[in-house]
Amino acid sequence: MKITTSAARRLAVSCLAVGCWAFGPAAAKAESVADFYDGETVTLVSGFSASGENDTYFRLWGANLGSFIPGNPTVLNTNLTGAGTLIAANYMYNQAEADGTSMGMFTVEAAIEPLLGNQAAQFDPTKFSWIGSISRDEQFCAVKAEGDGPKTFDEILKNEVLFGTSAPASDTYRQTAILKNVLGAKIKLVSGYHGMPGVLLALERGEVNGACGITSGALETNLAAEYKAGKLKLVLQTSGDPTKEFGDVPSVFDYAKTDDQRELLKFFFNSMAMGRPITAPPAIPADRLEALRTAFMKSVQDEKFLSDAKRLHVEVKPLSGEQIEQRMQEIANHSPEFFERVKEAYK
Amino acid sequence: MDMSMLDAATTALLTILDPSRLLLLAVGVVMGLSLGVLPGIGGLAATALLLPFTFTMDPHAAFALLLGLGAATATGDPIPAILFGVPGGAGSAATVLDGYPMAKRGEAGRALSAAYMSSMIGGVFGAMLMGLTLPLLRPLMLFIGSPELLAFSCLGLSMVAVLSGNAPLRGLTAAGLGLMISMIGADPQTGTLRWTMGSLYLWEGLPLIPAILGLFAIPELADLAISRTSIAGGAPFDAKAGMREGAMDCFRNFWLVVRCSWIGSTLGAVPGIGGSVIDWVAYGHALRTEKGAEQTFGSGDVRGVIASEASNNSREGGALVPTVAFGIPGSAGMAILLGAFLMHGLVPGPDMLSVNLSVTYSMVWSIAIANILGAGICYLLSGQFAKLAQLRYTLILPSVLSIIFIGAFQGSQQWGDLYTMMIFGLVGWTMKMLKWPRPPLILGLVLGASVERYLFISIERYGIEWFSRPIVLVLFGFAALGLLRPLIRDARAHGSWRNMLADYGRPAFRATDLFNLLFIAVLVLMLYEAAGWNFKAKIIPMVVGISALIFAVLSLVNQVCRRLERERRHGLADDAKANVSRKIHMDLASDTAHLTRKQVFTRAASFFGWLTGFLVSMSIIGLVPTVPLFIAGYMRTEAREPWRIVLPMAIGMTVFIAALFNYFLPMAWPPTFLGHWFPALKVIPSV
Repeated sequence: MKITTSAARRLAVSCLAVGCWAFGPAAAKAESVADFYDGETVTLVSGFSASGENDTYFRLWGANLGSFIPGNPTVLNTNLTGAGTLIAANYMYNQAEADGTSMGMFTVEAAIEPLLGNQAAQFDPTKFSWIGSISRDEQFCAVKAEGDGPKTFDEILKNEVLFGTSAPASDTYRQTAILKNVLGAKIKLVSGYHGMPGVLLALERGEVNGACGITSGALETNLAAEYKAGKLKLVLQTSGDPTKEFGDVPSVFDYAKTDDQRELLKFFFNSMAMGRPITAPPAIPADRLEALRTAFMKSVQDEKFLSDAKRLHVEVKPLSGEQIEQRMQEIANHSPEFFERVKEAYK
Repeated sequence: MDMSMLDAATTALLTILDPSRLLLLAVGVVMGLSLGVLPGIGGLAATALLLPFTFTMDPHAAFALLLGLGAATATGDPIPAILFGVPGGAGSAATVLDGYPMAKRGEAGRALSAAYMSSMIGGVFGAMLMGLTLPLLRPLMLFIGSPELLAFSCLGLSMVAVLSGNAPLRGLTAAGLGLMISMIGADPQTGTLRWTMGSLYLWEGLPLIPAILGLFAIPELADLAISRTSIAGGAPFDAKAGMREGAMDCFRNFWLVVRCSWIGSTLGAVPGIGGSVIDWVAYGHALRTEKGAEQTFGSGDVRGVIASEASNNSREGGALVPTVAFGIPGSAGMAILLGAFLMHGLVPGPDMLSVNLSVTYSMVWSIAIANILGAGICYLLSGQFAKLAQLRYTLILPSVLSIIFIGAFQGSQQWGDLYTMMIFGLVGWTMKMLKWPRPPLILGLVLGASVERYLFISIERYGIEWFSRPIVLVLFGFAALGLLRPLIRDARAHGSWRNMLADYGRPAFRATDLFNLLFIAVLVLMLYEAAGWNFKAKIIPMVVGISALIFAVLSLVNQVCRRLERERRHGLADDAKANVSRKIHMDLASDTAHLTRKQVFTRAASFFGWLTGFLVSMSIIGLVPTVPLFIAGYMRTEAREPWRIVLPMAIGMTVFIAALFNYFLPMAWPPTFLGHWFPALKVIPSV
């Protein structure tokens, strides 16, 4: 994994010969970024399993990335799954080589776990070398248009309705729980479905009446037939900046009545809007961080990448590394009492 | 089949037979076979790797490549299962039970040939069944809700009865423990972390591959190291005659192949049923329905191999259905395929069964042709493969072990994978020695999570009502029948229940009862910890755990109290009882009986010592540098193999592993002490 350049390899071998291994890192610093990456391999560590859409677009991005980094390194992908991508986050912070040869992707929910007091999350999200985030799909809550259940979010605030979600730590569960706990929606959660596809199938066959976390991509793929036939009604959109692309759907923020509610909704849905950020380990050499961030912004504006992403129904809405760094800082500035309230809202 | 379907199917076949697409399919098949042969290393990572390259191809070609790879891994899986007793993938564990004893008898060629032929026919028939019924399946599948999925899982679990052979109580105990283990990790209802022992590794449950390798591969290799022979001993060997015989076996049992391939494709089509139990379900089915199977399965009956492999290969055809019809991947490989779908502008759902029907059929054809190609290639190489079973153990063991370590590690690329394999290896070996059936443990382990998941959803959504749904009733009926029939038959054979109980007498303890006590202790500990969780998180573990505990205690009582009586009555056994006891031990038996107990223990200790040594070395100098040390060390100390054999093997294996896992399927190697002390040495792979 940690393969270095042929130059560094020669250096290391000769260093070994004279027993001066300690000079390795010092010698590397004198290199230019292009020298460093020339012949080098950059490894992309995905916290998602090889069989998911997140991984697919990470690979798609990676396939194009090399040419935008000075020195044109080889880019390889690997998957390090587990604990809702926390394992990948821990790995990137504590174990991955901090020389600019590895980047990782995990969920933003995993990234803020340490702030919620999770002892197993062994990192400080503000110290990562954030590279950028490729996309965040528009997200919606929808209900079945047939039958006699509620058909708008106003009705959901009054009448009970069944919503399907996956596991309790998933973002679909959390956002549904927040609607219930913060806004008082009369939602009964049926949880434990096998990922979002499991929830969508349950919705299609009518086992549940509604679901949140439905992306614009899902409306164009898994749910396309249902949606086009008018069997599905979008009742709420949960993205930071509302879209009219799917008709006039009320935003979750319209329902916040108190500052308290607004703050919680903003925290959750705005951090969710960071999508699945990409990062390098903390404290990588500054010139390489700069190069990787530039390469990121160039690669996500590349036409080939954009057209491929469009075919995958991934909406490319990039955030720069600096923007993520700043947002992580803002999130970390909340008081501990605030995070206690967040935890209550997740239940 | 109406005309439009026939049209679509023909167009699709012609498209696939285009030479350039056929070539891509063949490339996929060769890659799939090569990876399938390596134990524990499946086609998943390779499929993901190839995915971006398929975006520029036309959809037919892309799916030919990806499906060729996916389908052919299943054909490669039985090779190590038969030759070394090491399942090549989770779907080939049942093949070990009869394939390995055949290899030991010198019938490796026959077993391999039967495996390829049944794989091929199974794969083609599975694909055909799906091809014919495809248009009907989408509406049908909308009737399959969570209660039905629960019932399917329970039906799978009911196979425990038949897979426990002559030790039903031990089988039930093992299945119970398997179910308990399957519930490790964050629970799907409340997110409570169950039995994770403070480790992140267990949050999403125990990964299956390391557990299966531990349970099935390690014990066989341990026994090989203990008996110190070649796998086939001195058995006479004729690969060619065996190949003919194996193929003939498939045609003699053609109806079994067809049945098992239908079981495989049907279960493969039900999303949420793990592919890793399909082989066991088919094996159990064969065991129950084939004449005389209860006496011969598990000791090298070719029908066992046929059942397991026919179902293993037909799975992929079935898995295609939910993927195409709903965008719900039927297997992990299919999930990757979904990405390719989107890239080619295909939307899973009704369109795939109407406007894009020819694309769908080209996938069905790809799977069918991949199976034929795969089997063909295997036949060409088999003579060479079969010879491996003739080699001395010191030539086989170190290389196979090195691959297994990496195969297990690839599960989630953490130390936990290796510990899991070691622990399951020890437990598996002990179970094998003491004649505890291992298959029920796997059945529980694989199906436990879905049983709990769908039980909760069913109750939450439907209350009690779910139990009255017609499909649920039928499936539960079958499950109950499967569970109770063996019991009722045994009781009848004894004349009455009373006679069955007549064997009990004064207790007599043996040292081997300690293993039973260990099971009881583990269950008690797990229950003790579970008691503190909130209701939803603990209810199912408590119910399962207490049942397993009851079975474990009964099993102990049975073992301890029947011993003297049985010895006393020896020779008085009436016909009926002889009939019952003819039912075999449903697992492989250790063939180390010719050794003294002391020899067995010292050699076992040395074997597990080598494994531990591998782990220690890996933590210090990394996995890749450990491989040559391990191979050379083992070969030199165990048998003083000459350096001219040792060196090429050690170097060849290391280069192979380093190249494959650094440049093709990269891994996130864990940090090593050497890399920590001397950072410059990190240029060496895995340090």
